[in-house]
Amino acid sequence: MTALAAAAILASGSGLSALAVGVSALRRWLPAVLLAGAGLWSMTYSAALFAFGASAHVMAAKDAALVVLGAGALVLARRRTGEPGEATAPTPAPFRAALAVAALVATALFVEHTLRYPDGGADAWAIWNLRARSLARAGESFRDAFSPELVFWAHQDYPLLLPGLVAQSFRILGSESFWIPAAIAWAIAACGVALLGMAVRELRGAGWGVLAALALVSTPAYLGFAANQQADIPLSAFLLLAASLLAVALERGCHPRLLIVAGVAFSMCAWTKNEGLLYLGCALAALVVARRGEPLRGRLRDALAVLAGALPGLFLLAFFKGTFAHENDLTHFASAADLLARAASPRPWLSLAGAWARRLVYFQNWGLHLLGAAAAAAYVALRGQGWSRPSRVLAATIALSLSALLPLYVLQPHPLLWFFRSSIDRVTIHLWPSGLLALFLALAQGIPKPPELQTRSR
Amino acid sequence: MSFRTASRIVLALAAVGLGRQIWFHCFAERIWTLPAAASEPRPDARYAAVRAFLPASGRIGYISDEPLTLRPGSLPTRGNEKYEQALYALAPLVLRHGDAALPYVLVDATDAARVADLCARHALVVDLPGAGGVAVAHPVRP
Repeated sequence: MTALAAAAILASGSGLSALAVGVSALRRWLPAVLLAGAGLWSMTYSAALFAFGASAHVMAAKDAALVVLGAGALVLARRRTGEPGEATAPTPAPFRAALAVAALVATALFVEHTLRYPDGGADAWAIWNLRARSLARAGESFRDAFSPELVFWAHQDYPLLLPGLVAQSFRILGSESFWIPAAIAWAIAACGVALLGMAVRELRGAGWGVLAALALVSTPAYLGFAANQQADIPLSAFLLLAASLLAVALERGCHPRLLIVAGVAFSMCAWTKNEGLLYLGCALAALVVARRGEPLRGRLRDALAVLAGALPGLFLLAFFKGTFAHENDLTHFASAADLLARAASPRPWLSLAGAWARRLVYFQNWGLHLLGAAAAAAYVALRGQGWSRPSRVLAATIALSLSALLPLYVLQPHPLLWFFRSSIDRVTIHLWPSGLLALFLALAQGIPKPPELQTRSR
Repeated sequence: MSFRTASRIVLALAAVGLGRQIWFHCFAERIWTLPAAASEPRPDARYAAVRAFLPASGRIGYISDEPLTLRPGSLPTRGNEKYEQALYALAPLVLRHGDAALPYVLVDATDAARVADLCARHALVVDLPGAGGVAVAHPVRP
């Protein structure tokens, strides 16, 4: 069973990634392969569970089908592409060493945090690992995991990508050791760092790739959320996967297959957390509004290609929301009169603006990273070169997402500042790796790769 | 921005970010307390005895002497945290808060002395007295 599951993840991830970037580039895109495979493995688990039940035979058949489909996609991609991978320069040695040290330190601190808090942060055990335990233990009674009779803080309506990964691992390994969700959390966080480095390296050269990865792995909040085993890092990783594919598409010509696979990755975001749906909507809008010099027809066609890729995942989400997810605390408990009163009062908007400004210098979770990113974005905006096409679309996606969150914060029914403080770092970490991608692509725009560093590293 | 400038900035940011994490995990949290912290009982331990007694799935009642926030608008309480810990430990059981009429009722009191009081108030008979204020009971009149 373990071998079949591993084969399902590798084959389906390879197949999906090969359709986007070609078979010859799969080694370079290994983090994307693993993320895509994990996402497909979990999404098909939920689909199989809802359609055919929880038996081991169903899950084995599902994994076998993933292997076959993945292999088929690999054959199809080989026929269609077959182009050799672009040669990339070796990574500059001193920066590679700095990244290795940072990754080792982050891993050591991750292990320390896991030993101290084996069940993860509050949301991990109260939502994500709770759901995973329920799904792994309940068998055919899996609907109990979403019972409306549970107190709403269990968030029964939250999507199942992370619980699906953990629950399947519990069942396959025959253990509910705390190391299992911890290992999954570490692996996804590591894939996020590697994917960011790889995507920037692919588009701007090895040196810039290492810098981007170093910026991410050293972000305090990134390590904190990963070690807390929450769904925010998986969401950020799947969003980065979608953003990376979009960036490659926008830089090298919008091949429909790249855009469709980016859409699949966006649907993985939506199947990880509710915010993922918002990010998909904002990316679709950004593909249209942030490329104003281009023909409208082409922009709409690209957005539709992304949407087409996301559709299967969105059907799964719609089925889950319509069938099992009974209520959402942000919408179910709010009345129209409440909403109007909150929207009309200037006070919550002002409180929110102040709290947001404070977050820029929230050293505990962000060090100086957010300030550095804001300064770098201002530099890019003021230097006169403008943003490159992928950077512009990704930056617009992030700006639209943050703008859409503003009214959500004001209108939701919880105490505003409590809700803001307990959620804003999560929202920021969702967008952070994709924001770094946009920023590094913009910073390195039109700059030749540093030959002296490449020579030295050989 | 040149690669050299960018690399200097990123290295400085990374040093600050990693330094902050090392300080927090090693000194603020006092790393020398890790062995003691790691051997502390997990939330499951409080409910281990009753889990063996309760059915593996289905619905049971949940009674506590601490109030819970049941609607958005107020902050979650210590009672909410205990309910969530019970849910986590006993998954996939559905814990119906405030329902003392089901055949199995989990009594989750602050301490053992409060169990009898809660049972008397909700007309429950204790089936399994657990440790630390946790017990399984059933209604006097099912």
